Amino acid sequence: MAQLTRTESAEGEAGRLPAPPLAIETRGLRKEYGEQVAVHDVTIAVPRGEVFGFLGPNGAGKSTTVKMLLGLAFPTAGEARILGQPLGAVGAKRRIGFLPEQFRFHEWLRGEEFLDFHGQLYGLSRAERRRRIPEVLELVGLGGRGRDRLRTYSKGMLQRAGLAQALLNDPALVFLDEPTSALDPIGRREVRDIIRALKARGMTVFLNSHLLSEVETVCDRVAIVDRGHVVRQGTLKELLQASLDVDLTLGALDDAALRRIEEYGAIVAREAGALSVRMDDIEEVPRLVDALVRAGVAVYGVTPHRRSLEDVFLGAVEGEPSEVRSTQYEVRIHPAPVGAFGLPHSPPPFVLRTAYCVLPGAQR
Amino acid sequence: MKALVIARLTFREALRKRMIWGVVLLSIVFVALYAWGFTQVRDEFLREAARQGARGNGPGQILTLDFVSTIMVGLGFYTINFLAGVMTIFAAVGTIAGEVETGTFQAIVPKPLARWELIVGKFLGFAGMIAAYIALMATGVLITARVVAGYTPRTSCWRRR
Repeated sequence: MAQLTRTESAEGEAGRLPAPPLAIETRGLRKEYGEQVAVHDVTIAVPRGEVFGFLGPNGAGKSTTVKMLLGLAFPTAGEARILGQPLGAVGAKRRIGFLPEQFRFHEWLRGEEFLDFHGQLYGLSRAERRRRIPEVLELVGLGGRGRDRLRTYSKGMLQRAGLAQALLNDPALVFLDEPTSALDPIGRREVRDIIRALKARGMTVFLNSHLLSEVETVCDRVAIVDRGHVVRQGTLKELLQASLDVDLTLGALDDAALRRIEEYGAIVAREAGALSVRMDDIEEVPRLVDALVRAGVAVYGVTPHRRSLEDVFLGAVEGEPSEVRSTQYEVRIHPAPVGAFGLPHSPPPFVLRTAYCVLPGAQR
Repeated sequence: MKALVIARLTFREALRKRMIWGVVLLSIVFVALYAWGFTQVRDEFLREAARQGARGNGPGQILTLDFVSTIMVGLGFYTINFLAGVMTIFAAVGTIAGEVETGTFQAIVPKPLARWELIVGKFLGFAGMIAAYIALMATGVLITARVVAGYTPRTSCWRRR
């Protein structure tokens, strides 16, 4: 109770201070199953009103973390606050929606009965349920199918019904675990639009997804987990701009000029007349060019490559693989304005995506 | 309150199990056999009483038809007890483990309800179904006794005067 009061006063202060209130806050969350440690140490902060992407390879501990946040599993150690309340508080649960991965239903129920049941569990009154059920059915694109039994629904429709269930109580925080896994491309785009619409209404969305392109398009903030640890966390912008490769096409270079370049970043690839430099900040690029010009090096081309979320993800999870690639078997074809998944997109003018073609064994 | 929501769904779900209808069918067979057996016992008793009467022994003072009916009703109740036990086990076994397994609980547990409400709800759902079953079966046995032997168990509330 004392803790609760403290949080409330902290939120009161937040009105004056720019720090946004957090929807989810965890500290050292840990889960052991006997000898197995599923989650070592998860410390994340999800500000309210944002779309948060939770990424990681299979078995990284994503689902276990979500289970702990929802009260499906009890943490071995650590603490967490959901919407300002401790884990398992019924008050917070009232304002949470959850779409589990591979949502399974009581398939003999009709769509409306199913939603009515979950509405009752949320404690919605009969009038609220009568108003809300057609609303959410319409929202997820199941309008008019409420009277059919769930057994007759397709996989994609079941996924939508699950989403409708998660949104019934108009939650402040909604957890979506692989919401688009059963959907076709059109359904995926619809779900993305729904997520954006939820965000526009001030909802916080916790998105668990393997689809990096999806996370890249809808998320404000991302955490990457690997083997039970959070290995990267930050806004999407921070993560994507944390490092970039700059391709330089240069005239003759001496060793002094090379050392000059290395002050700005590691040289990750080098060919005759061309260099690739890994830099931390795009603001450094003009300074590097300036330094090169002053050192008397002819600069023919400067192409910064923003790294895609896939690069960041693979780098975070496997330890920087691009360094391995560059020394061993990288064949780089550029410039190719193609997105991470071969989908064309329109980057800002100075950003050109690079298509990587990795051929194991092709030594250079 | 939420426990009742769970109980209602559990009750409906239990009625959907094919096993339940198997048990109901067997129970109808049981009541029919019971009524037939009861009739046989009554006829046998009446024949024996008539034979004893013809020999001049007079009808039994201790062994009356009511006494025989009491035993028969007791046997009927015993069978119902056994059937209800079997039904409880088959209907309720692994209900929670099963729902954890299939994942239907994943959407239910994060809802604003305490875990005990979930357990109590499940219990009440099955208890309601079994109670209805026992009530129906007991009615079947009592009506049989009434029709076949004109017998109603005497308790303090049904004392015949």
